[in-house]
Parts: sequence; structure tokens; C-alpha cells
Amino acid sequence: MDCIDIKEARLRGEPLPAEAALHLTSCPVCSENRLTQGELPEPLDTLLAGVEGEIAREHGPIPWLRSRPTPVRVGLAGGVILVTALLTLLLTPRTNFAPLPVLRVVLAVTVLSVLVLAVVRLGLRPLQTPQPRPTAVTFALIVALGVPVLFSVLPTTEVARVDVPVPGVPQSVAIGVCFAFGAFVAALLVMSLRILDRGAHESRVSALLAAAAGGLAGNLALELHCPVTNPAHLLSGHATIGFVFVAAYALFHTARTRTQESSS
Amino acid sequence: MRSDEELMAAYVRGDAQAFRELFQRYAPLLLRVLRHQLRRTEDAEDLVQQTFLHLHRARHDFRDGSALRPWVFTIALNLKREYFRRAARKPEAPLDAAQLDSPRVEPRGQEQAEASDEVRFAFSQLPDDQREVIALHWLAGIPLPEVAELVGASISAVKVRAHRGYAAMRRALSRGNPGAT
Repeated sequence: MDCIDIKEARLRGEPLPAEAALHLTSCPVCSENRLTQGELPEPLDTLLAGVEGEIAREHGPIPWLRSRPTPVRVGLAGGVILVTALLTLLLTPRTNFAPLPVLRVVLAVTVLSVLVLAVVRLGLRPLQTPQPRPTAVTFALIVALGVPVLFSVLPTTEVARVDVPVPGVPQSVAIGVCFAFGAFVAALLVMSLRILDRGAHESRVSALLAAAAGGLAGNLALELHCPVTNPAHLLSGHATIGFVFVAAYALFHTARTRTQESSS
Repeated sequence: MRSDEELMAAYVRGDAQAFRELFQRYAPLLLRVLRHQLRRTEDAEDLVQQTFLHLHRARHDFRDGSALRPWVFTIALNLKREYFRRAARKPEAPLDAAQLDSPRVEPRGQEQAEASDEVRFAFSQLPDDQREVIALHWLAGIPLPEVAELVGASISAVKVRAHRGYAAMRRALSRGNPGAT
């Protein structure tokens, strides 16, 4: 009978045989276990006071929002996406829905909507659930960044081909305007997710996923706003938003890590 | 005595004393588990505090019928992983037993003090995955099926890690510990 057998027997509430008693007196592992079991009390009062102090500071709208149940937090983030999409449709709708293949529009909007909600859900996952595997996070990031690129290079019909939103406007200006519009929508979602994230300042994974979700939300809004079908425009003015947000966070993270290292 | 889940439900309803009772139940266990995996006691204490802060933030996610212990330990393990990731540090164990925290109890004799050092050293030499499993199973008294859920591995994989870890510790202890003082 070894340590594991004894531990299991204890956990099952079974009586220990004499063989176990012999083991307990001779085994340094079990001896150590008895020692560590006897370490209490720790300076728990100080730790508890620290936690209670932190909790006492958790007042106001942001802590209140963060403490909402996870489905509510995901719903609120979804609401931000929905509102920006609806406002885009109402205020600055795409001018050339009609000649576009319906299937193409439905497919793009549906895929982007589902993806952004999935990435939001992954990013807002509560800390009491197992962390997503690094491969799952990497896959989510690749898909979130890759799908807008894929939509940019999909062939379009000649009847729906539009190179610039307004005739005479230089392509570079059109790209800049689209990027700014998409980045604004992306920033709104990223800010919302940072507010709703319970570990916003601690988790690199959550921050990267928020950046990727922002990129998707920006592309979703642009899909409803921008009539251009020129692949060069879509690649540089739309699909880059996610890359820029993810890269910006990575740079920020690197700078912060260096600052922390130099100060410690 | 109220169960963990009853205490958590009471805390969700606003009973601050229930939170203190939960802290008194779980903080020693968490501290024991984390202190054996981190270099510095202060870091372990910080993670224990963070765990309870996150438990507070997640309180409205708690539903009747949920078990609290997996919650608490999953939060702690996630924070521990994030700690290593944020610090860009691999969770390597100290190379020298002298670097380990000294035991918090008065040793009951020279023999036991040496045994304690040797055990800590042997424990510190285990691979990360085995150390995590053994810390949860041995130091926190969590059954292996629940450990499997906490570390996100199959029960058979966790049993293998536990078996190998305990065997490695036994081998190290039977050889003696050159680093122990």
C-alpha cells in the first residue's frame, strides 16, 4: 500500500489497514503531508482583509457590469454588435445591395456575425471554467483574421463590381475612410469587451480575442456599409482592421512587459 | 455546518460572513497547493487573494446544483497559468532546496525536518504536469477524477501522471537528496 492507495482510501472513507499505519510512520511523503496539514493557521486574516478591501473597491457601473452572469455579459456584447450593425444599416447603408448576389451578402453577414459572437463568447469565458487550449485560441485568431481576407478575394459578378464608393474619389482616400469607419466600430466593441471582461487587465488571451472580435465587428459593419467590391480595397481597407488591432495589442503587451521587467 | 454550496448561495444573496467562511475553508488549501508550485510565498498569497476576488466577481454565475470546489480550484489554476504566462516564465522549480520556502511549522524533530526538506526538494524536481496533479491530489486532497476535470485531462492521463510523480518522488527520496541541508 503506497501514498496513492492511502489517499484514495481516505477519500473514499474506508478504514486503513495495519499495513497503511506502517507506511504512514515510515514514508517521508506522508510524513510531510501530515506536516503541511498542520501548518495552519496561516496569515489568513491579512489575506482576507486584503480581499475584502479589494471587494469594497468594486463599486460603480463597471464592476457591476463585470459581475453580471456570463450569458448576460455575452448578450450585452452582442447588443453592441447588433446596435452598430443596425445603425450602419439605418444611417449609412450600402448603396449597391440590389445587384449583389443575395447569397453572397447573406453568407458574409451570417458568417461574420456567428464568428464575432463565437470569439466574444470565448473571450468572455468565466475564469471558473477551464481555459481554452492555446491551439483553440490560435485557431480562433487565425479564423477571425483569415475570414475577412477570404471574403476580400472571393470573385464578384461584373454587374456588382464597384471600385470606389463615389466616382472620382481616389482609392487611397476610400481605403482610409473605410478603415477609419471599421476601426471605430471595432474600437467600440473592444472597449465594451474590456469593460465586460472580469480579468481584463490580467489575461493576454482575452485581450487578443477582444482585438480579433473587434476586427470582425468592423468588417461586419463595413459589409453593410461599403459598396466597393474591389479586392485591393477590401484587403487593405477592411481585412486589415483585425490585424492592426491584434498587432497593436501585441505591441502594447510587449511594451508593458518590458516596463514591468525594468521596474522590478 | 453549512456546505460550501450553501455558503456560496448565501454570499450571492449578500451574506458577507459566508464569504469569510469560504475563505477560511479554501485559503489554506489553495495556499498549500500554490506555494509548492511558485517560487515565492508572496506570489502564492497574491494568487490566493486574486482567486477570491474572481470568485466574488463570478458570484452571479453560480447556480444551484453546482459544486463550488471545482470553481475555486479552476480559478486558482487559471490564475496560476496566467501568472506564468504574463511573467513569461516557465514554471520551473527551484534548483536548490535552500531556495524553497522554509516550513511554516516548528519541526517536531531533526529527522522530520530533514524529511520535509527532502520531500519538498523531490516535489520540486517533478515535471510541471505531474507536480500540478500531485499538488491537487496530495496537498489539497482532491480525488483524481476531479483533478482530471481541473487540469483538463482524462482520468487515465491524470492517474498516469500521479503514479509517475509519486514513483519519482519515492525514487528521489530513497536515493537521498543531495540538495537538502
